[in-house]
Amino acid sequence: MGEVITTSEILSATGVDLSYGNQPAVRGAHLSIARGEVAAITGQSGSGKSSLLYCLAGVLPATRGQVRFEGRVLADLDDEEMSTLRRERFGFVFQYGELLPELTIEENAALPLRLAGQRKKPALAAAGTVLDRLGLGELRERRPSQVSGGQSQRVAVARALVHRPAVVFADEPTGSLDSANASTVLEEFLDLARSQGTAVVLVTHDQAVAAQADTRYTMADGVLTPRGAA
Amino acid sequence: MREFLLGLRLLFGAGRGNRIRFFLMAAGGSLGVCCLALVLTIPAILDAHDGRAAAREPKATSHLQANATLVLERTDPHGSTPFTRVFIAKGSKGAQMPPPGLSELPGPGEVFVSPRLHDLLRSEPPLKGLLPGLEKGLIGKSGLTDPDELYAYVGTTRGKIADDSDTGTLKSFGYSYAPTPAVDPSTLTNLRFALATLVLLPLAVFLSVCARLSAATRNRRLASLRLLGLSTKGTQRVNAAETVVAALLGAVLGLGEYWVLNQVMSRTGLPALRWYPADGALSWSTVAVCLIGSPALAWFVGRASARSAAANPLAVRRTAVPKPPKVWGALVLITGLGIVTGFCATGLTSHPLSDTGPFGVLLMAGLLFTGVGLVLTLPWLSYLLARKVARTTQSLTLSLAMRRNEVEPGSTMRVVTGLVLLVFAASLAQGVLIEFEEVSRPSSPTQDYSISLSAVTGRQQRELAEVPGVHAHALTMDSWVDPNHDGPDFQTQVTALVATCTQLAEFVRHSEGCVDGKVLRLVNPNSSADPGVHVGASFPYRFRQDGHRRTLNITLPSAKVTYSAYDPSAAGTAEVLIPPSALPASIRPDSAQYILTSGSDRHVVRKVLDGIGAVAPTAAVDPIGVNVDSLQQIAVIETLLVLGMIMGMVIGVAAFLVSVTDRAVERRPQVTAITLIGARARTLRVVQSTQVVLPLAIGLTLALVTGKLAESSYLIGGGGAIFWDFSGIPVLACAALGVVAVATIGTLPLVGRRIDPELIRRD
Repeated sequence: MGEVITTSEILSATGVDLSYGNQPAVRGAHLSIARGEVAAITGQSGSGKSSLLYCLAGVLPATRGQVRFEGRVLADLDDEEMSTLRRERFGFVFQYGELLPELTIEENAALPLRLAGQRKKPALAAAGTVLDRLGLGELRERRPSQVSGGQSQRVAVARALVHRPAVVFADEPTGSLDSANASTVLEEFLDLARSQGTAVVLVTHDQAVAAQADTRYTMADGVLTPRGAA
Repeated sequence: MREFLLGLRLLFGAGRGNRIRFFLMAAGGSLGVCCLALVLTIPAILDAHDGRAAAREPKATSHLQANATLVLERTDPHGSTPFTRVFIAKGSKGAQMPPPGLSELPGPGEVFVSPRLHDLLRSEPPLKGLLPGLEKGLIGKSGLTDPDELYAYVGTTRGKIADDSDTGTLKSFGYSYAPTPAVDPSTLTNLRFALATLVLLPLAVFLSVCARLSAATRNRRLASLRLLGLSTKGTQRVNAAETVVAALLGAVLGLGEYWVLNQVMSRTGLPALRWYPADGALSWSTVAVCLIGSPALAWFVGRASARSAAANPLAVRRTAVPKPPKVWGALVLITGLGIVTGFCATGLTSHPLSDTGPFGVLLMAGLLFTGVGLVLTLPWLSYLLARKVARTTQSLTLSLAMRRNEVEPGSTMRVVTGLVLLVFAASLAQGVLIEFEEVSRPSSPTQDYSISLSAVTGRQQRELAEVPGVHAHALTMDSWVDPNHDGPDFQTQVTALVATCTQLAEFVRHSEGCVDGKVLRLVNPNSSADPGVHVGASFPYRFRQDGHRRTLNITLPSAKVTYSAYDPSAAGTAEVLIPPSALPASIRPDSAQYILTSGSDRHVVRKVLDGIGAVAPTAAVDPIGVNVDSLQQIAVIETLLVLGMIMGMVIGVAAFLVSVTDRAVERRPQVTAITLIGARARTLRVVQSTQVVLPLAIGLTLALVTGKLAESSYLIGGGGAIFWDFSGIPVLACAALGVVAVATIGTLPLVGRRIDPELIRRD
């Protein structure tokens, strides 16, 4: 497990409610995540954990309550500011990777840097370094369809961390992998995040995955309950 | 059958998104079928028009039999519309059967008119002067070519028409062919070819676009079925079931849309083309073609599009990189272009190829190969360009757009092909129009009109000179000859032109030596001179002034104006120029024509004829050298070509919108993911536009070049005077730029601001 660089609060939720029409998905969630901390939210399917994750990332607006990132209330940011935040300070890992099939592995990994305005060559070089750390250096010229599911998910991890974000939101990052692959990918992911001082908010239904986190929360029927440090 | 039912089960059991896609497929197909039905029905509409014209045509012999029914047919222009009057003098012998649309032959003083003429008589009462008698009824539909026709049967007596050289003895009504078809049979073939290119090629693309909507999602679903044990053929059939049902529903809806369209259009009409709703009714063959052809096409497209999912389901499930497009499509284009360029090359020599015999087949094949080759080559070109640009560009947006086109050139093709084909077909249509224009275009740049002066009043004369499009007016009058003269010497009749030098200059190609205010000899070096017309010879011109007859003797002076006339010309036979000031005021020559001149462009001619009709509705107008029926035919052809262009445009734009929307919907998960990692909406919009507009621009450029070559080869094969239509290039280039602009704007709304994470959490 890598070294935690800082412990000051970076992301917090205060009394967050989220509803889809009349259907409540999250009820009064309180949460605080420090720099470099890995927090896992577990719960059964439909418990509202993914809704809370996207609420914390500012994608879904909270019906009530506040989400703060580095002291700024996300609801007060306009579209452009939110895009900048997502581009420069956030990273995302999705269940199915969601790599762009038309780009090569290294182009996919370099995408956040390119979106931030970095030129092609240095962006690809930086992506290459991260891919090398994840053992994907040989595959950089391939397309996502030409690599395995585990490799594809590692590329998604590289894409989420290449620009050294403050926090990575991971929605079932190993949900599409077998247990052996899931364990390896998660280990590499968290190692890399910790080494960069990146906080991780991890949503999973897998208790074994959650056990790797510094802090664990449980979600049931939209209610978030802390379970103490792992 | 089992697979077919499984396909239906999947279709109707699918979610809302799938049902929407199904109805989009059906709606798109219905639009295509509606256009197809219209194209297939146009010949029937023209046939119905010609059939009724043939059925009412009087059969007559020139020998006038005693007591037999006589008939005299007169067609004059009313404005630019033919106005036909059939005078019938009933006799006690011979034909008594009425023509179609009448229950009996009109008796003396009885007039039967078409509904349009009935209305016109109310708004233009002077027209009654052309129809001596009382209106007894209307001509039924079976006796008219279309609802707007100006037609009348006038009952009269033998004495009134027997002396006319055109009068004949009526035998019966009805010929096997129309005397003046709506569209000449020789041009009908060209028209069909033009319509087929304009409508059917984009239509085929559009129907295949509709049949392949949401191809990626469906392929993944089909691949799952294949992995679950469904056979290769079975997988293809499951997919075909959905496309067939959508196509069948689309065909039924399309036929319904056509029925409504026919009801509306037959009532509102098109410029120069009207028909009765029954003329445009769907024939069994059209219904069969639509109901069988569309689902059959959908079956083949459905099966073909499921081939990859059936053959390699694992690759489809993992969204494997599609193989690069095959280069053989370019061979079709090269073959077509080879033929077309060959024809063009002969156009540069003194022995251009003609499209007669085997060369005609070769030319048609060349045009078809070029059009089809264009469609098949676009994906390959798009792929090559995308690969090259994606590897070299530093721009992220361009890189993203080109990478997309590199892996999905077929999808790009579906988006842009309709519009590219439209520009190609529009180029060919320009050629067809030029060929028609050449046939109909008078050799003279001016068009003259001659009206008997006795048919118009002084006020009408002044108003006619002011009709928009009229450049100049003048008077021609013939010298008086004694009808009772029976001496051995021949009486020379000399036509005088009463005009100023300025007016003369407007009526002739070239004139030299004109002096205003003087009587001058008119000498045309290109025509043989009458020996009786010489300097010093005197000719009498008769007038009426204040009820008294007067004669003005004009002696030919030695002073002359040398001129060359247009051919044909209303002033070309004049041998003496009289200045208007030489004639006493308020006199009316006995035998004179009021002549007008305008530009010879047929739109101008139609406008001037309409203007003359509005000022002097009962005056007989002779548009020198122009056949009003031909003018009408060309107007019909133009209308049909414009209709074809509009249909082609509707289909092309619909194909573009449907496929670009479908592509955007298919891309939503990726777009959501890239938005979540921080892409700005404007970046995504630029990507969205670039990946459509760049291949579109290349396709349009190629369409312009190949279209112009195809047009030139068509013109060379047609043997006309014009081989190279450079004047049409700016119009097409502007149209192409407009298409690019519309496409750019059209793609922008496809990227929304809202992010829906659900899109990346579902397979």
